[in-house]
Amino acid sequence: MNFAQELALLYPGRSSQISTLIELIGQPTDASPPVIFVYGHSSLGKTTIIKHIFTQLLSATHYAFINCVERHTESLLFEHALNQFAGITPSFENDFCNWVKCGDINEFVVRLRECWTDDNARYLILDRAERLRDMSPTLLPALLNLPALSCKDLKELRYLASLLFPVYLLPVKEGTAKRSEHGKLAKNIQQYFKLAMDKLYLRDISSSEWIKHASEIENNQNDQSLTSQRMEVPYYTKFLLIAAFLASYNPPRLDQRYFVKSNEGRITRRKRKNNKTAKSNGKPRQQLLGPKSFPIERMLAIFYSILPEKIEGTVDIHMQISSLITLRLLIRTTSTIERLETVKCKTNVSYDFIKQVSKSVRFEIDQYLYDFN
Amino acid sequence: MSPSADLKNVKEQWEAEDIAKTRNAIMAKLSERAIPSKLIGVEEQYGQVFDLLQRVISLGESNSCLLIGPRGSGKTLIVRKALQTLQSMYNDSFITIYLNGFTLPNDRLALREIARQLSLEHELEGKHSFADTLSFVLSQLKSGSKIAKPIIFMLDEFDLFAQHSKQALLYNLFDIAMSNQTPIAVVGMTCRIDAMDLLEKRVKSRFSHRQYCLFPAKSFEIFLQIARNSLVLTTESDLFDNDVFRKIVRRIFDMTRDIRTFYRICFKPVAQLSQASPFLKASHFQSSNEQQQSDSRTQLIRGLSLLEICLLVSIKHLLSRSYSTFNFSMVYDEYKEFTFSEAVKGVGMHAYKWPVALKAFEHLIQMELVKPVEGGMKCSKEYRTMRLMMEPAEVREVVEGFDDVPTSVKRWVQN
Repeated sequence: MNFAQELALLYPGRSSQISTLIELIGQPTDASPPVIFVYGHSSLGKTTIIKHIFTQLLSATHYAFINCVERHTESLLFEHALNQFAGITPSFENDFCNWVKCGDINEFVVRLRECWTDDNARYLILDRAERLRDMSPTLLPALLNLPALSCKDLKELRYLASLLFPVYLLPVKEGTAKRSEHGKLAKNIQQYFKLAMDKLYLRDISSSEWIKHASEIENNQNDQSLTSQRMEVPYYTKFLLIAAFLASYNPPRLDQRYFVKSNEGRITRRKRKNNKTAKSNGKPRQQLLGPKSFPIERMLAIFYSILPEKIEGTVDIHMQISSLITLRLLIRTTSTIERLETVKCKTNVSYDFIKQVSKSVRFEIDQYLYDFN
Repeated sequence: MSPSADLKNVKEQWEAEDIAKTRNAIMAKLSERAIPSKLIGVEEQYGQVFDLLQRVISLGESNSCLLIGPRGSGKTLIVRKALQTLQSMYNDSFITIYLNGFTLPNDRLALREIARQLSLEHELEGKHSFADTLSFVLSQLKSGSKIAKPIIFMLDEFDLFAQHSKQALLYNLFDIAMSNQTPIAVVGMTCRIDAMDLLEKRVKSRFSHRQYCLFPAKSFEIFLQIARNSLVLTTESDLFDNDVFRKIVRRIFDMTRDIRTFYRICFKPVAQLSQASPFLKASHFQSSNEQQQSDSRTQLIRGLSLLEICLLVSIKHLLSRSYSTFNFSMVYDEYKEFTFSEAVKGVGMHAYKWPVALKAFEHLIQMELVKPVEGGMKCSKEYRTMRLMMEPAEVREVVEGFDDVPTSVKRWVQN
């Protein structure tokens, strides 16, 4: 078995790419194409395979492997590459010194010739090469194409599989199903899978948490504690948050209609009519465009209007506002030096979050939102 | 080494060493390291440049010229070939200095590089300022004390040197060439047709105004000859009579006339030469051509997950409603509407939650299929205005040609 076949066994589905790469590189003394461009989705094995091929085919000083995220400036990149070509690793013995100092590409070319002790080809491997665009424009190499076989994100799949497989096997261990009954097993795993897709894909909970959670899932199907991070804030602050949300999404011209208490009867009638007109004109709903900024005064006016009872003094309220800003639940859109009264803000919480907050203070937010669903 | 027709019949088995030598020889030509034995299509310009350089070396006449032509038209090749020939005629009686605008972003570095190539590096030590270095190098050039030999300056990417501040290097080089102190030749190479307009008046007036224009292969026959010259070692080869192969070359000629595009598809077939298949095969060229021609973006889209494709289709629908930009929440709303309508029909497609879809959307941004609009307002990422980096029709094409996509999504992309 030759090297290409060995590698193809290690990395299934990549045999054509592996043999192409090996053919292009050939023997260490061979001439090779000036640029090879390897591209594809993340976690298809680009870096792993290339590293494997080069470590096996060439001696360590004939190629330099550089991650462009780690070496984000030109001099870092050049010095690291030269270290590798010269076979020097910064360590305690050499006082963590680089082989040479090198700040520009011309110097790099000169130094490169210095460590060219034989006729063998040298390879400079640039991982995450898209970062090169952030460096000087003359650095970018000409690109060559090598089509990649497409495949889904394996990292995610492996992560999920490693966590779900024990659950999949559970019925077999318990003796409720046989190993060959794939259909039954698949049905059993489905509920976990759906949940896991949502939770684990986002890395909402860690894998250890998930394992713990999976054992509890049968006892408690709708576990609330995992569906959202809870945030505990004081009672009045919740109303402040709601007021901020309303001020961010409702147009100011409708404030009178929603928040002047005397003519509540008109709200529902008008609202329905407005929903219709909003659909017909071309602009997308404010809900989709995101929050707009509003003056603090407007928010306070809404706040006092939606409070079920009256409160006195404004000092505490202002302190709450600034603490909301520090918590990044409110975002200041004007400069920081201004006084709090003249500041403009916008909300930074989602609709789901504000719905929960409203529920906890028994405030029906849907009645006060314009053109929302 | 050269597989000729009658040898082909006699010799069934080729030595591995021969194959490796052949492979290397062709590779060196393709990667433009080896200078081909004959030039095709640029003979006239070659003659002029050769003549100019020869006069500098043999008669000590200083001169300057500029070679203008698109990339891959053979500017550097001409000069290299001329120098190679002169080298064999006059041995070491002249010095060449090669400067590339890409690696020398300013005159200070360029001067140091000149000193280095003249082996005067050590005498430069202690002279750090630009003025010191300049005056030293100039005095060396003008006096001719150390270097009485003629010097030939090759300035690759000439237009970049013209962008150095005050064009000091160009001014001084042309000045020396004008005033006939040390015999020098300045050969500039550029692909900018307006390179002359970049020069300041005082620099321009010192330039000899010799310009040689190079063009890419004028006819298909010439293009084919260049290709043959770089790919085949002997005169006999049935490859160039093959219809499939000719079609491939014809297509490249019609598209770009750039010989380097042709070289690109050659690497793989040449690398595939082995004892088992010692001759270039048209079928190898065909597969290599297909690989290189394939659109990388379409390939990448084929690797997207279903959710990501659904988001792209949502974006396409938004754009068809005369929005030019969009944000994530608009896209998600569109996606939700689709999954909802499917659920009503009873087909039932799992609707992914907001944060899951947001991560998928971020993947699209990372792939640069979707890009944030510049100068957009600072706001949270769900509401940042975005732009699609491909044509909406392209989305449809890709989705329709994709077997793994459910029919409901295919129907969705059509209306």
